[in-house]
Order: sequence, then structure tokens, then C-alpha cells
Amino acid sequence: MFFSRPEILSKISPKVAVTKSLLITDDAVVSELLIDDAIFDLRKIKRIDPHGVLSLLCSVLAKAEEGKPVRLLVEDSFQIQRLHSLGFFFELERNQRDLISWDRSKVTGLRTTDPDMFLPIQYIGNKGGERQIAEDLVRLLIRHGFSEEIGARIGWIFGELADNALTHGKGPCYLMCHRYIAAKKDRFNFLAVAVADRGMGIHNSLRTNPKYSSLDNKAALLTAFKSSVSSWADEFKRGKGLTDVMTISLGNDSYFRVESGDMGFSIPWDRNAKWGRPMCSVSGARYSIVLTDAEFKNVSREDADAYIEALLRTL
Amino acid sequence: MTTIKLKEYGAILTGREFGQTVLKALIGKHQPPFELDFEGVFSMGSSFGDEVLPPIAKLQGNELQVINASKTVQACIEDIRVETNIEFTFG
Repeated sequence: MFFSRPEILSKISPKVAVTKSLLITDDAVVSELLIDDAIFDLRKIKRIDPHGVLSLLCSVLAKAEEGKPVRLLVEDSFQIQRLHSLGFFFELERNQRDLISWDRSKVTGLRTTDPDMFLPIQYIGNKGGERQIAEDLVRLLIRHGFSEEIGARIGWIFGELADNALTHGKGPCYLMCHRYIAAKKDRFNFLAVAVADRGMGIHNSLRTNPKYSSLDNKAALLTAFKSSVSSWADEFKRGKGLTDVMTISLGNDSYFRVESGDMGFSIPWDRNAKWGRPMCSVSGARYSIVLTDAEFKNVSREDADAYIEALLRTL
Repeated sequence: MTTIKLKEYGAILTGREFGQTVLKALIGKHQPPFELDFEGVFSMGSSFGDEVLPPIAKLQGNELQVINASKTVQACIEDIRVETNIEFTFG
């Protein structure tokens, strides 16, 4: 049997360099997958974690909302099937079916399963929608040998951040949770949790309160984590949720990353906080925390405030 | 003393509006003084706690008895105690 040159070429998949690791701890960014104004080459993805998945999802949705047709380049690979199993393509279909296209034959059929993915992409559109999801997650984690305490703290984090997204971000949010492998002395059984929304961003939200309207971007982002600081006026006594997330994170010596619009800020394991490139720069807030199934020390709000104050002095 | 089993409202108690709803339901159904039973509750967020615990304590002399609170729930209650000076008793 003989094939023509075009026939042969059509049977050879174009070679794509698989290089981008969209992980909470890495510096790769979603824009590196953009090979044209509105074409994302997902075949380049080498590894991806919840932070990467939600950043990519928000980026693709934001691009489609610009009104241009968006194309995703996919192939029948492990990472693409994994995205499929997390509900990534389902979420795109649900949101922007007409504007986002990809070769559906590559991502249909049986979804691969990932035993470490305890919570695939969860869309929270209504206040309180996260509670049953968090409750089911805690029970699942306990069945997998995790302590009730780490599940309970994740439930707390989800509750505060989802409430924030729906109250201050004025929109829905996404949740994810994944077992995370990391080499860290005396510690194992990590869980990476991620929450993302497509609202106005933490810094912009805070500045809607006249009391904080003069803060610059970085100062506004950090200040939002101090206790009793909120986009709402003082009389409403709000502004504890982000501080609670910070105290949980500091009390567990976890890896923490927050992004607001085009700003990225992280507190690595050694607590030497740093500014860096956000994984994506679309409007909204994205949080990721890698918690260890170990002791949660009680860190007071006062301690968290002091930590944030010290960071503010470095600006 | 009326013992309120909070697990009837869920194992994850978060959200300010949800706290307001729960408080209304509690006060509508029961007579103070209350004792809060957290058995079966994994965690409570401070926004929920702010809406429920201080108003109940106010009805009973700024005192509140809490039983079966997990370490995570106690951490949240401690933040409320620091802010409000409610006298909590743990059982």
C-alpha cells in the first residue's frame, strides 16, 4: 500500500515540546501556552496542579469573553485526558460553548481517573454552595487516611473564600483539592487546595472602601489580609475571612500563593514571602495553599496582622 | 438550659447569611439559655460564628457553654472570645 506525502503527513502528529509545568511552586505562566492571540496550545503542558488548572480555566474564559473565537490545541495525551477528567472541558462548554473550540474527538469517551484528585473543578454559583462540597470532601479525606483536622481547616478555608468571592467579587468561584507530592523533611500527605474567581480582584475590591482607596496595588492586596479590613465599612464588622485563611496557613507552615489580577504573591515553606509573576493576569482572585496533614498551631489574628505589617514595611 | 445540636445545620458551618438564618431558626424554636453542642461539626467559620455566638451570649449574660467542640471549632471560638470578651465554658 502506498501513501501520498500529504497522507503521510496527516498521519504524523506534529511534535510539540512538552515543557510547561503549571504548578503552584513553579514560575511558568498560562500566557506561555498562548501561541497566537486566541490560540492556547494545551499540548505543551507537562504537569499541572489545581492552581494551574484554575488559572488556565479563568484565562480561557476571559479570552472568550473578549468576544473572539478561542481555539484550544489538544491531543490524546495524559495531561489533556487529566484536564478532561477534572471537568475542565465541561466547564468551558457550560460557559462559552459557542466561542471556544477544540478537537472534541481527542477528549471524549472514557475519562481517565486520577486517584489523587479528591475534588475536581467545582463551580460555586450561590452562597453556601460550598458547604456540602466541603463536608463530602472532609469525609472522603478521612476515608483516605487524612486527619479530620486538615479536612475541617479546608472546609473553613473554602467557606471563607467562596463567601468572599460571592460577596466582594460579585461572582461565582471554583474550588479544587488535590493530593500533592512534595519533598519536605518529616512531612508527607500534602493537600493542595485552590480557589479562584473572576471578580474585580482583591486589591480593587478593597479600594472600593474610601478608607483604603489611596493604597497602591501591592499595599491593597496585602492590607486585605489584615483583620477587620474589608471593602465594607467598619460598622459591618467584616474583614476576618482572609485573616483566618492566613492564620490557618501560617499555623500549618504551609505553602501559600495568592494572585489578584496581574499581581502574584507567595509565602513559601520557609516563610520568606515574595512577589512574583502570577500564573495568569486576568481579573479576579486566585488562592492556593498546600497544607500538610500535621499539627495546626493556633496563630492569632494579632500574629497574622504583625506578619502582614512586616511585609507592608518592605514595600 | 436548652442544648442546641448544631450538626442539624451541617458539619461545615460557614457563611454570614447562613449564620443569620440559623440564629433566627434557633431563637424562633427554643428558649434561652442555650448550650451549643458541636458534636458532628467539623468546622465553623468566623463569619458564621460572629452571627450566631455573640447574639446568643448576649441573651444570657454574655456567657455561653459549648460542648463537643473540635480543635478547629475551638480555634474559631477563641477568635470570637478575644474580640467579644464572651465568657465561654467548654465541656
